[in-house]
Amino acid sequence: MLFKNIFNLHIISIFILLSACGDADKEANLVNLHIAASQDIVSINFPVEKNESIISINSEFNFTLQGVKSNNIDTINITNDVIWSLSENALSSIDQQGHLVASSTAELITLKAQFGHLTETFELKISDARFDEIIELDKDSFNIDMCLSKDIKPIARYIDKDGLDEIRPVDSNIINTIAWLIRNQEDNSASQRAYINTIANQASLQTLAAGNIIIQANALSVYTGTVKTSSDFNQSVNNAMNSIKICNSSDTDLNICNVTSANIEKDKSISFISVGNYQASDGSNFNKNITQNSKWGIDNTINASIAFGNDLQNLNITGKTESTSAILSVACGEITQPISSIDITKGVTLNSSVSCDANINCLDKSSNITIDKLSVSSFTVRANDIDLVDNTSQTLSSRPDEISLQVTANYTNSTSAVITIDDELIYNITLGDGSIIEDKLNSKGVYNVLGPGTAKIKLDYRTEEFTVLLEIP
Amino acid sequence: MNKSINPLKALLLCFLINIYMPGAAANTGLYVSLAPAMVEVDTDNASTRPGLIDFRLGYEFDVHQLELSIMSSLYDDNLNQLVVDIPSVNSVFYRYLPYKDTSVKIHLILGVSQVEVESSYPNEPLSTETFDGASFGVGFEEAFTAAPQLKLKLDFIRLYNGNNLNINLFSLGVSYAF
Repeated sequence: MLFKNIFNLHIISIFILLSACGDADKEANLVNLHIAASQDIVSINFPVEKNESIISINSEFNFTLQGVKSNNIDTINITNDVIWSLSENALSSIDQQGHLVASSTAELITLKAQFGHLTETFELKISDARFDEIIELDKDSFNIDMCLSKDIKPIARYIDKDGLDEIRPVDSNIINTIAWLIRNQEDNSASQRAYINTIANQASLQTLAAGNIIIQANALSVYTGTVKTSSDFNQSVNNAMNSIKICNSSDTDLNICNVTSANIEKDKSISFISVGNYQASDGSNFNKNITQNSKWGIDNTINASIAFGNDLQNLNITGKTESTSAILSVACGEITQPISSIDITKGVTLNSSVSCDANINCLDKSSNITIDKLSVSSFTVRANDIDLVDNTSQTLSSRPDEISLQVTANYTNSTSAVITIDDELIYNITLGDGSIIEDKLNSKGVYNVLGPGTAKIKLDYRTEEFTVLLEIP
Repeated sequence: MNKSINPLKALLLCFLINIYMPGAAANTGLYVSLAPAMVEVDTDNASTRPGLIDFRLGYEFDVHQLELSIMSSLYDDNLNQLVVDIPSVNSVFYRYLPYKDTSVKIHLILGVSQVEVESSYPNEPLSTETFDGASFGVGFEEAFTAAPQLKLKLDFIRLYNGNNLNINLFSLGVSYAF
């Protein structure tokens, strides 16, 4: 028997050993085909418009790999399961998300991306040419409507050690050093119609109102060592907006969402977005979340307050005074109220309503906000200093002359308050009235004890209930 | 992979060592089984599930069974444009019944399998790979009351346990003991 057990143990060990011995090389083809098929990709490429073939030394760049679906029409950006690599001996490095960190010296390298069984390469020059100035706002001219955003890729002149120009998109180091100047074309005044912000090495033009503007880029020329201001880039901000509305930030269908009134409790917040309906160049209409570039106002800051969320993608309104109301308003375009003192890059909120009046380049909307009383999550009730549990009988050790209740409301904002004599708290004896207990005159929450038995008192406050159940000896 | 070990010989030896034990009962004989089966070619990213017809010839001795299994393609499976077919699977299984007195018999299964996988994808030539290796799994079997020689069988077997790819078998069929 011992021999059999030892032998069986050996056999099981052999199987465990064998089962752990897969042939990865043989598996590779089938595994790779499943990777490509899982996303229905039949070929891959590096899209020219999303990748750059010349990268500055010491800069960073995120490469994009595009996949072509099996219908040979649809394309998608491939972000998962790509194996990124650089040619041997490259000084630059790339991670498995396609994020390249350029070396500190110039080099020519080959970038390779493998997705499943598909492989694509991209020739890359790491250049030590030095930045001189911005020469174009974007590689293509574009139209933009008010209250929208557009990512831009400013084009810069770099100069190499032979004095030759290298014209290419500005690199990740320089893009963050540019100070953008925006003026109104008609009077050269500082413009509140638009601004450019740069987040994660990506510059984005944000428009707030229609009109013609002039954009300039101010940046230190690494080549000359002086600050250079670019030439004027003329840009129009159009008004092709049909309507504006307020929606809940949780709404996913921007076509049907609309908030004309809402309720919030004191000290609670709700989150809204503004949605603009635009006419596209092909005549169709589309909806867009334009919260960031809308102007928001609240007509009564004692009753409610407003503030942008962290990323300016939603606006939070907080109730401040119970049983009141406030009007939340939003507008896109040139509003009647002055905003010259406001830093528009942080979003525009006013402590008054925003309105367009008769301005044709402006649309507005408002929503009535009712601030409700804070709701109660639970009660803490004591009878003659004994803690009670809702609808649970409590037997008193001796018969008192009177029973005195103390009621504390625990609110949903985690605060508490004693509400024993609050007008909103309704006491109602539902069992034993007149025989066991009775109300004590002019003493809310206090009862005279008349005799032994079960007394039941129902407490009602802001839709919450509590039942006091006492066994009196 | 350790090529010096012949898993088939090891299995046969295991079977012989187990069956020549004193006290073995007389529940002995040949049986055949037939079942439609689904094979899951499972990778980290996706799976394909072609179908097979699973024929087995076995010999039962008390709580031991030795089985030869031959499977061939019933239908292929298509993931987007990836077509995967299993033209054949050849296996030898040793099945052990740890609880022989229950109505539903549980089988612990060890064996070796050779799985042929055929795949095609747009812009890629048709390719065929053969995967060999140890198999293991669990089976359930219950005899029909009216015809005790006829049994319903359900098997879950990992035919191939690879580094980045596993091949699993799910089969449900009947067996007949002579």
